[in-house]
Amino acid sequence: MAIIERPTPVAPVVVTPTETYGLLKRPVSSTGWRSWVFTVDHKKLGIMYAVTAMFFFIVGGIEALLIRLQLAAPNGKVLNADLYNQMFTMHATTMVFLFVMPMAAGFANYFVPLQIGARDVAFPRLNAFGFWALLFGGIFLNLAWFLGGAADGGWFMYAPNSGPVFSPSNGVDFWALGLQIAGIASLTGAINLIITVLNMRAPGMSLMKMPIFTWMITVVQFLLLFAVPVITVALFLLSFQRNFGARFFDVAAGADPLLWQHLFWIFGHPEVYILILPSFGIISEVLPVFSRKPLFGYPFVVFSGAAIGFVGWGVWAHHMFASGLGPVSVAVFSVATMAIAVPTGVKIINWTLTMWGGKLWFTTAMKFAIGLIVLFTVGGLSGVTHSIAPSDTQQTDTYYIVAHFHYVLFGGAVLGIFSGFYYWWPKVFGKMLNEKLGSWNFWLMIIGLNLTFGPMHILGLQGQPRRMYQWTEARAGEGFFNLAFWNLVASIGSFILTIGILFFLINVWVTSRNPQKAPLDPWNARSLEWMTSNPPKEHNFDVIPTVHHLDEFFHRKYEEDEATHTMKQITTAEELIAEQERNADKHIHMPSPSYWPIVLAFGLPVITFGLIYSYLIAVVGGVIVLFAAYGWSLESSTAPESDFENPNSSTELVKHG
Amino acid sequence: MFSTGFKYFFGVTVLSVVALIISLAFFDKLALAGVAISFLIGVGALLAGIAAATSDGTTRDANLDTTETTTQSMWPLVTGIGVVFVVLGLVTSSIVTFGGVVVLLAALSEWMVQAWSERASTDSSFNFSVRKRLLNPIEFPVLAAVGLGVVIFMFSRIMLSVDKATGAVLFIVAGALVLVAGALFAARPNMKRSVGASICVLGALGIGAGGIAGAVSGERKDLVEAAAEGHFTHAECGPEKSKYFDKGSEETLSLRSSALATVTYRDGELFVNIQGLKAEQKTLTVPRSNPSNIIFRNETEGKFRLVAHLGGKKDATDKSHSDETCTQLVEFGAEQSLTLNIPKSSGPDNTYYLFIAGAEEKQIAVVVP
Amino acid sequence: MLNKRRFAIVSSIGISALLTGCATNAPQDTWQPKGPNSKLIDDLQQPVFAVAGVIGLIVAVAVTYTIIKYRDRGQPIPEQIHGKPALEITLTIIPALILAVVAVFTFGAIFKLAKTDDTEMIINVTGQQWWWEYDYPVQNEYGITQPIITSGQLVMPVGTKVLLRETSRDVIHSYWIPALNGKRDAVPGRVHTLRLEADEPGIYAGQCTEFCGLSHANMRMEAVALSKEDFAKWVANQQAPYVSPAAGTLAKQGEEVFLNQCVRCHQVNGLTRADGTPAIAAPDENVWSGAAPNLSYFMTRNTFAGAMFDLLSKQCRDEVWNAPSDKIGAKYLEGVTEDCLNQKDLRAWLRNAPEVKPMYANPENLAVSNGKYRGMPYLALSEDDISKLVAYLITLK
Repeated sequence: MAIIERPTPVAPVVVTPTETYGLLKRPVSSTGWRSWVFTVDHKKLGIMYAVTAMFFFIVGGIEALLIRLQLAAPNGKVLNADLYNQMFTMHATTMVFLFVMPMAAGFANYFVPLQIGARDVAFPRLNAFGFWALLFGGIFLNLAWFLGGAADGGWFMYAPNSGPVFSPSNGVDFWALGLQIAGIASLTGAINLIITVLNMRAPGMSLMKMPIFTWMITVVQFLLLFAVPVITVALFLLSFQRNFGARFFDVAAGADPLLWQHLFWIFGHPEVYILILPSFGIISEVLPVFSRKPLFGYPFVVFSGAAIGFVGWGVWAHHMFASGLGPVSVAVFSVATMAIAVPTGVKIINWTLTMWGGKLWFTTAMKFAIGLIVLFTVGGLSGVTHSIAPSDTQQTDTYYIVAHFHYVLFGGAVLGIFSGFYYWWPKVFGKMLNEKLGSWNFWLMIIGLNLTFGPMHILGLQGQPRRMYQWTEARAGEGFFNLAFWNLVASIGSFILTIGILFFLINVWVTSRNPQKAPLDPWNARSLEWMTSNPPKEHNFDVIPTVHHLDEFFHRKYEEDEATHTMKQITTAEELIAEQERNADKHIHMPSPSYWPIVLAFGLPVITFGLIYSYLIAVVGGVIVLFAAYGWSLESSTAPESDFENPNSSTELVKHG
Repeated sequence: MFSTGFKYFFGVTVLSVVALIISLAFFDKLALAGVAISFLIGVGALLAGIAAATSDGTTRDANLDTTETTTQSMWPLVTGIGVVFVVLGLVTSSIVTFGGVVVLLAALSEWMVQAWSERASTDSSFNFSVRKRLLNPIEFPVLAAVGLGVVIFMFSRIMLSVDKATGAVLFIVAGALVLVAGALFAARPNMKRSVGASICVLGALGIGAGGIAGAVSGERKDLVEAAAEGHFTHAECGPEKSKYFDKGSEETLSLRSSALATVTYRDGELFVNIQGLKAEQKTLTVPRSNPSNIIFRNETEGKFRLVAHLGGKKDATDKSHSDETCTQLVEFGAEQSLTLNIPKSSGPDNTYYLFIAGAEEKQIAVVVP
Repeated sequence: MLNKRRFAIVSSIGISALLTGCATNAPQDTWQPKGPNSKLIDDLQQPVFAVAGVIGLIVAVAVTYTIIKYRDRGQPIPEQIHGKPALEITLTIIPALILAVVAVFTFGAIFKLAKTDDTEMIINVTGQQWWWEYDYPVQNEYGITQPIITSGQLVMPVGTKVLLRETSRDVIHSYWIPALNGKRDAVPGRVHTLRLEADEPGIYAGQCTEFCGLSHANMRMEAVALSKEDFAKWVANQQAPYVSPAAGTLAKQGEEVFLNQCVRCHQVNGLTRADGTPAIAAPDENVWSGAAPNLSYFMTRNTFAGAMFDLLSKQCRDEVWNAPSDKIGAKYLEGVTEDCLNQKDLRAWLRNAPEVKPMYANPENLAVSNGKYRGMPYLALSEDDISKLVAYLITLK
């Protein structure tokens, strides 16, 4: 961990190095593009994670639109079979690995240190490395589009259909190796955040006084820590099978192709909770703030989150009810799947009861949160219907499942993410997103998503399977409300959904041009991240707060009226923050920027590229990685203070004594 | 600019380039050697760059010659051991030579870097840190990998030498010991380093001693016998003495879900049981071009072999055209699986059937539609 | 805010109404069981759907009520209640109990559907990219004295517990006839069983549901349930000896084209070469997965190319498919007559198969599969040859 001692400037300061290390001069810019590319600041990395995720959200969204365009009418001709197969494979891969996971990582990076009153994460350079590895991994994955076709085996990539004979292009190689790189990013991120949360909480913040968002993120990081190695192993087997003639899934060599399914879903099911729990965390922050009440049953929500984390490991085979496991396994996994519905239901109940008896303020963030409660319930209940294994054998691999997991992931994860955007935007950028545009954004998204995914329930129950590049009129049924009608409705819905999301982008653009600054505490919020300036200073807090309550910030602002038990305000956020500034710590240790994370991350796709095309390129990649690893470890942990010539230093230091 | 370190690594790079050119000129293929040398070039250039950039290894003190001190070094000794191994390997086996060369190379490079770092400056602690910064990034991963490899190797020797039941017990004991040690470390975070270290050393010694003992006593008898028999490849239907075949095919998980049929030889009668059909059958239908597992179960006193006749003419005078595959001799009450893959559908000219070796009249017709 | 509430109600009621109210006789509707196995599933799932719908409604109503009642009317900031453990535990136990009851019934159904010891007939089903092969092992009680092989359409007697034994030659496929039972994957190297039983004669549509590559969407199938008498007739016909077309006819010329071109992969049982030797196809030498549909009695089927195309013209197809249950058997057994043949699709298929059905049959991309095709390649047949072949194929019944 590179920590340098440096004075705390009030305004951004241009610092120039005074001593050079030859080539290895340390980057020190705090403005300009260099301040982003070489940064190790968790907040900047959080923003970069989110921007990357948003970019891939748009990519994945375009893929989804093409899919819906193809399926709007029977015998669609927009895409051919090959392209369609690549499209749905990459749509899922992009949305899961390159949108929801990085977006959650972005939120986690930005807010976990703020919520626990820390100045940064435990390993800032590793954090930067994780981001760059994810970005390069994502780009590498998508490179396949231009190099002979993307992966075409579905995101589940079942063996033996993923083998070289059945998928002859390099797409699956790019897919497997790209996910491998993204997996490295997830693992480093998970270790980093777990250590941060366990070791760097503000004094007084016991685990049960930790904000619920941080709790959910912690559960997710543990899930990642154990799930990613499984997919890593599976992907290695796949790569060896494709590139080195191994026969892990080759029936002729005595292998059983179901091995892949088990490996994939042992990762894949916890992955579902990796995707949804961060959003649960977000709305568990949003609902109390806009209900003016603490989260109802905080310990229940925490423990149900942890319970989901545990039981989530014992339900993977419910993705395989039709694959011939035998009745005993099917029965066991069926019951385990029903069991996991209980802690999920607990959360729905707690969210509703949080609003009960509150003083509800319907901001856009709150609307998205309420939307999540209702729509996730729909997805959760359809999930229960296919925990009934015999019933699932009728529904699996039909559009009913597509409807189910889009209600869970779009109605759940994505709505939570948008709730987070509107809630934390003033914190991150110091400006409020436009509420009017936000309302358009919300309603169009809700209508669009119900129109898109609602009819899919019907399509599936009436027997339309998934992953078909065309559907035929012959199997669509009779009458006006036949499958053709619902397919068309779903396609129209997807465009309404797109317009809804465009409203968000418009909102971002409008807000960025609006000079008006956000107030310090626009929502009358409850947790520590709001107890600092908007946006937070590089060192987050002028004084590390000592925590006495869950919802510490709220309890510093309000006091209970003994007679009526209602809360009355005793001070404002402005006063609290001004007081902090007056008592600011004089010397704050902050990590310095570094070249090495990005260089090291860049070496990874070079190696994987070489594995596909030429081992000599892989050698070059290996040298880059080694070079960067050396640079990283040679970088002195404490750069000399003389590196930083602070233009304000004389006055500042005098001022602070 | 041209520090001592830079010169050294630059030299390594240039030599590697020469080696690459030679290897390209005298050997047809680039292959492994080429890739390895290219890697060496890359590493050399990289280290040269680092040395140049950090100016590490440049003498900082003008009074170098007067204050130079030499520290203790184990590398001459290790080099010597390496040489001994190389020589020893020449008369014993090439693997020893190879090990010796690896030790030699490691020792020489350590020695060089140490020697050079000692001349880096007059400040011995600075010299030490220079050595650490350059070598630790390589030393730690290599040592960790070697250590892990040794533990795995030793443990595998133990497991291969003891019998199956003891192996299970050993696994439980080892797991319990690791748990106890872990719990101890967790419960006593302020424990003296020496105590922790001695626990680790004890564990390492235990595994090492066990591994050596296991390697000396050799693999357990059944493994040796099975390996000598080559029981995975029994292509011919001649006599064999194997004890090691799968005696409970239906009990194994992979076969339970993939057996097409069970062929039973009971009291001198051969018949086939097909899942879903209650009656015992005399005809078996096998899908074309698809590896299909059948299980042969012997319930007649004596040892019998099931043979599959897979086309070709079969008559008493000329057996050369006969295409056969078979199980091993199966004892009373035991089972064995047999995989059939028949690419041609059956017809008047190519009939397929299963029979008991030595009792050819006991047949089951195999039909490939 | 009114909008929001109304929407919540409308969406939840709407969704459940749509789910139940819009059955339009889609051929693969999962809510219209036609056999005991699918009825078992349906009886299990209907109450679950109902309970799920009610719970969804309760949540929607509760949320809506909360939104209306507790919106900000200027009331003071409420007491900071952190929860009521008793209430929460109750609300945790209730769903757990509901699910426990469901679990009991689920258990029963799972084991009933997995039974294999009470079935009366077996059919081997083999999946291959992108069609299904059925073979009927010798079962004398049904008159099957020599194995029957067919593809695309599974023919079975009604009121008989049929056990399918599924496997695959290449990738994983999944066999699914929604009206008769849920799906079961056909996994290479494994034999999986699936029970099928139809109450009434009829044609029940199905579709491969495990993603299996390029033409996954075109891998369809039907289960044709015939009355026991009709099934016996079908079995008898499938074992009838091969009749070569009369000399000098177009069909006879077609037989020659077939022997020159098609027999490399496609078998017609009983077909002999000019010298009298039986023509045995060797698909394993030309096709990666090792088999091609056996075309014996081709015109007794209604579909071809993995049930992607109809062999019957539109009108004739409707006559068969829409026939009342007591007539459908007779209609089906008529097979495909010359007037009813769907010439357009059959000719297009013979002209250039990979063009009408996506397959990896491009000869330039066969390096990975050792030069073997996957699916039917382009054969460069002349229009003349195509006419001859069609004339020949029409005699295969």
